[in-house]
Amino acid sequence: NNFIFSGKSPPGKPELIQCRSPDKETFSCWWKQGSDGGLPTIHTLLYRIEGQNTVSECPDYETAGPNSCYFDKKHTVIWAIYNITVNATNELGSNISEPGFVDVAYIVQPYPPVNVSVQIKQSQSQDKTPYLLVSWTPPPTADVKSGWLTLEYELRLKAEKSEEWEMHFAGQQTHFKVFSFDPKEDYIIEVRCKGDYGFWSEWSSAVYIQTPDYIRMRDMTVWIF
Amino acid sequence: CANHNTNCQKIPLDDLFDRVVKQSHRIHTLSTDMFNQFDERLAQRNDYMARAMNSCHTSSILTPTDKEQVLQLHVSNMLFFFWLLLKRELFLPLIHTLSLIGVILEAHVKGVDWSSVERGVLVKSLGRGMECIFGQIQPEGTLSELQAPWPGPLLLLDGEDQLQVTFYNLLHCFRRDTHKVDSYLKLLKCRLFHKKGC
Repeated sequence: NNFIFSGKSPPGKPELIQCRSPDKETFSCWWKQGSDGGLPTIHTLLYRIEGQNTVSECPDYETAGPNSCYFDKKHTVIWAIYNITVNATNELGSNISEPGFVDVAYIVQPYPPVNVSVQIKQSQSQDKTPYLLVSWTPPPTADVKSGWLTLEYELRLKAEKSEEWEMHFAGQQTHFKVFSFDPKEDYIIEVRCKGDYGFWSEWSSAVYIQTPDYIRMRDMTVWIF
Repeated sequence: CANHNTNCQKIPLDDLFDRVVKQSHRIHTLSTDMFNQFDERLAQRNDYMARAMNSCHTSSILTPTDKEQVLQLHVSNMLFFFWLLLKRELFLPLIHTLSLIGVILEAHVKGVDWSSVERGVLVKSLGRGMECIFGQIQPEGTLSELQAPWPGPLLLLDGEDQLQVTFYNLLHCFRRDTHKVDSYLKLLKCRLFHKKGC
């Protein structure tokens, strides 16, 4: 047990943190390193897919950043459980993480929607109620065209000076009309999306708009009538 | 959708698909909710998942496992897969067993919405909807080829632990199969009725 005295030791236990798929076609897993035992330590990720007997090593340690493994389309199947472990090795020994079990169908977290925009419109009805028309497009990596991924959206808005966000669920639409807002305020609006059963994306980049002075607008309408 | 094929023919195919997709979405949401509720109450969730590997009796049916494979399928082959997965001989005993075990476990596992176990009704009506669709598009393949072995009565199992494991496995497989059906259906709907993309 020389290593105890030299201050060097086998590596600590790595921990698999999470696996996520942005598109239901590829996915990545991330882990946290244990202590390195004061020695250069190599981490490898090993996996076995349900129904197969072979254990394989992570195909790509680069794409998803440090301490990660990226599975491209060729290495991704769904409706099968991946049994994943992370192995840490230095010259004094090795340590293995608790196994993680993942089915890609249930770890989908899309990227946020893009091209979010907002316009002020007036309704066609007699009172010409003003509303905000918020539109966006799905994240480019999500294949919603073929129907492989169905996305649902949620938006939130608040007056810049306010603390509280107001949430609206937009369903599968890629636009949403907001009728309730205070006049003459600077508003921030953000949108996020979710696959049918997975995790919400991060919020999109924000769009800003100054709301109209609709009380005056409405008064004027009354005047005219 | 009505029981009789004659009535089925009157419903436009795109309308039928809309209804069937809504139904399958609902069924999968239910099975997922149930699975999650049960899963959250288990102490060693990883152990259960480990034991659930290779446990689905429907996995003997080879179905596509990625997008490319699914997209390359001919429409009638896709329908064939729905038929395989939805086949009553597979789904209904599964639901029946789920509900039986559910009743036994109910006393021990609180906070799970067991009422959804009885949603066999939903699956039946999805099956009827699919039959209507088959009436209009003929699936390829022989329907008699579709035997997948049902593991048989499971209630002879001893003890609550084993029951829980079995229940977990069944829920897991139910969730997986309903997700497959739902995904295939959504793809097919887009392919048939949204030529420019969904």
